[in-house]
Amino acid sequence: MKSKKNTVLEKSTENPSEKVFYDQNLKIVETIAKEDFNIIEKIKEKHFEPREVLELKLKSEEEAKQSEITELISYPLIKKNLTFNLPHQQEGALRILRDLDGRALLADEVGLGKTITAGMVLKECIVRGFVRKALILTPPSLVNQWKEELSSKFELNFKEVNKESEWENTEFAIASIDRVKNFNNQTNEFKHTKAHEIYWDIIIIDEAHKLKDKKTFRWKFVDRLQKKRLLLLTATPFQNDLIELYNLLSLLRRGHLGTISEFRSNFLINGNERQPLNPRELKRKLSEVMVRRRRDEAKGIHYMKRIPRIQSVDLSWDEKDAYEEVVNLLFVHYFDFNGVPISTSLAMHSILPKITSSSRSSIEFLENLIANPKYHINTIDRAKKILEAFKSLVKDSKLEKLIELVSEINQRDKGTKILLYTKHPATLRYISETLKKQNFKITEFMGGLTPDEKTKRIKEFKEKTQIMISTETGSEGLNLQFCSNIINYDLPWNPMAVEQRIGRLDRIGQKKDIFVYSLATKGTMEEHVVDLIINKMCCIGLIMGELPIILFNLGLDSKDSSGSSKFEEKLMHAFLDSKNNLHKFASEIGKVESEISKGIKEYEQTKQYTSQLLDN
Amino acid sequence: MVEKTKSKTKLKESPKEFILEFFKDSKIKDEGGVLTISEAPKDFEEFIGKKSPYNLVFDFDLHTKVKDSELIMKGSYFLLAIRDYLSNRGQTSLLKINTKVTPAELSKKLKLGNGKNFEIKTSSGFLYEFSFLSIYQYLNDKNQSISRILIKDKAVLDLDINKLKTQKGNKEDISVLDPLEQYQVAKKILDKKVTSEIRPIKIILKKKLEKELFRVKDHYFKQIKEKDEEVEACMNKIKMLQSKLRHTSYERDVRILERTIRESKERLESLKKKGYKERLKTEEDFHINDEVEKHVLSIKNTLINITFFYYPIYEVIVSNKARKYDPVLDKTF
Repeated sequence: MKSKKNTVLEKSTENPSEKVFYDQNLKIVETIAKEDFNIIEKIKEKHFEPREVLELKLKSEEEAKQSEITELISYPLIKKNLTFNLPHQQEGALRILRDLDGRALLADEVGLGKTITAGMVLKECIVRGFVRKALILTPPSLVNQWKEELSSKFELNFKEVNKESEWENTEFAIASIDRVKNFNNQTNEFKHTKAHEIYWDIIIIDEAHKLKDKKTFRWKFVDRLQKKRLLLLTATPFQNDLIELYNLLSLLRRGHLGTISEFRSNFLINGNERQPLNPRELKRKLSEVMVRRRRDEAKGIHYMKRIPRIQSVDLSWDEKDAYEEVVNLLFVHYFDFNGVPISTSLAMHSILPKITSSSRSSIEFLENLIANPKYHINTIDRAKKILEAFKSLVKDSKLEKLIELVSEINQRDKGTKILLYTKHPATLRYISETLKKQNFKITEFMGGLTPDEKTKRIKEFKEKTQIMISTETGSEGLNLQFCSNIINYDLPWNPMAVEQRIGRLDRIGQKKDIFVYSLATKGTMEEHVVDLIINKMCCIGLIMGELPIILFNLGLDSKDSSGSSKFEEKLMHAFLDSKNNLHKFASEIGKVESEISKGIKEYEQTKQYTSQLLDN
Repeated sequence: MVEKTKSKTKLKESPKEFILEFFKDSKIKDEGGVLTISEAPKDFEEFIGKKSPYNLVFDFDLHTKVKDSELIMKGSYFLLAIRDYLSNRGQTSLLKINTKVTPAELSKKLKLGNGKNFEIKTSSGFLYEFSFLSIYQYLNDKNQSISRILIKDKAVLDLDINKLKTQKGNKEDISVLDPLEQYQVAKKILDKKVTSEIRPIKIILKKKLEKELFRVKDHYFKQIKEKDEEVEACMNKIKMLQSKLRHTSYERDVRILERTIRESKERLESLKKKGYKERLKTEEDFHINDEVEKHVLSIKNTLINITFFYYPIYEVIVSNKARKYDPVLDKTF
């Protein structure tokens, strides 16, 4: 390129957004933004457009201009994806952005939708152009739920970061805090140290009460992140000790509550870690960085009860024998082609749920085994015999119980909608065929449906059919508030998965109490698992969202490499250790129950302390 | 002043008037507060990924009542979409300035006197108008301004171009164009203007940053002081215990004192060993840097249009002497 006086050389640079011009001695003469340069080139090429377009363009800049934040300009974009308009969520997002500069502790009580409020802050910042790099850290069990909500409600696609190399070029990252906080003692560095090299425009941390101890790697990992805005989400910012609150706020605004010695002398009573010395002043200081609302303050939210109904199924002798034979096959006679035993633990994890689900899925499992040459001939022969036993069964007690149950529900509330869950597609088809023969109108809902097909089937269930049979896959995020009966034909051994099932119905907008029916086969481990998960965990009066916190607090929500939750793992080990001895298994379940009940008690206490400090 | 921050565009027009102008070639129905736009430009439909009709409302309450309506308010999504749609359009324009000067007017301007015969020739005069959009972003705020800068012969021109009559130009009328050097001049003028525009923002930011930095620095100053005091207290305690030890003869007391001295020394060693001052200083720097980054003012200047104006310059030859008149500058030379 040549100018009139100097010879100027154009050279491409590493930065694609600019053009750099050098003189003959390669000294930089001018750096021009590429967008500007393109316009200059257009003029040189005599490429002209009408002047009116410029005038229109200038007006558009003026009309699109966003001034100070007085309202959420992104709200119309997400409104269509939200089932309910809850004013407190918008108010909270506005306060965080306008008054707290995007650094806040969002401590709303459980059930008020902290995720939605945080999502609103995030979306608003993105629409206004404030945020280009965003990071969300959540407990392991909530990563997928966050991803799903951000995508369906806020149309934001977050990439899950698992490996360190994945931080690069990830603008919107989500990660399990348990995974990324790992510290390498040999190198004396965090394994995900790349996260610390990025300057984040916003970071959101869910269940932030786990950052109560500044000596932990979790706390240190978060503290080292460079960030412009930080949202800490927790309904219970302190559990046992006000120092926990101090540590949490240190992440948000260093020194906001003074040094630790000042905090102790200003706010702590010797010997009492929970009662502040000067509650009014502490509350005032907290209000400068915190948004907290109680459920009774929020408009438009009503909570319905969950009513558990366990349906015991008595198996016939033949059914019991067939079931025992399969369990025996897995425990004792499960060999590969070379006669090497196949890991019982692995087999139990993947096969046992199918066996307990229905005779149809047992048959499917056995047929697949027989057709697969990777198994030892003796295993195949034994499977053939058991298959015969299953095929000759004249009675399906579980299915009969289901038909009886549906009739009972109909007697109580004729034509009421029923959501029936099973884990297995084979069972789904089997139940569907049987119920259709009984003249029930059925909608089937399973994985692999297109979004349009999903919408169509939900509409069909709402308007035409009485029962929707669904598998977990594909049903995440569904809003089925118009239905208040759920039947668990089989039950996942993961309470979070059960919560997800019930969560389709137990949502804002549900007007009736929810009946949670669960079929449990007597004399099998299912009986004990159903009792634990339904009666002792999912239907004890907790608000939707509280059980994950309790499991997270107990460290039971993370997943192993196979994708099973620690809780599921615990139950499976109990079963394996019991060697199908139900008394032993029941005793192990009792221990888990005690642990859970302790966790629930601690959580309730924490709620009480938090409320005493923050709400009164 | 040279640069024009306002064009003849009426900047305070309501969004509705803007929408009507933008969709002037489409079908528009205005009923019950809802503006229904159909047959929108195809490329606009493709750009926003939604076919018309669009139901546009200008009131939030109405927006909640009208199904599938788009809320139009300052900064709303639909207006942002129109802005983005227009961003690559209207970047260059060519205008001819209409300056008809009669021989009598020329004679008067050039003070030729009455009755003299003269020959009139014309040559081309030209000037550039550069329009820039400047966006200032800081904390959770965003400001923007538009600057329109006129440049002639690499010098700024103080002229209200909108007062002159113009018409669409013909590219056959003009020769080779090279606006790079003119652009560089305009850019310098823009930089000066931006510097003056950001002054009040910088004052606000500085004040806020100072407050935050005070919090961080005060916190670490006190932390270091507390640690220093702890070290001093520990040393004093050791001295005091050692003195006591010298005056104690009871074996039991000696044992207790020796143990306490040993523990205090260990505590002192551990305090010194961890290098608390360096650690706290590093932490302080991190948080200072965090606050500084948070309070950064980001400025983005984008050229959004270059308009090339051309017009005739009159050359009058009287008695073999040539004199020129530039009607736009109203100058003779």
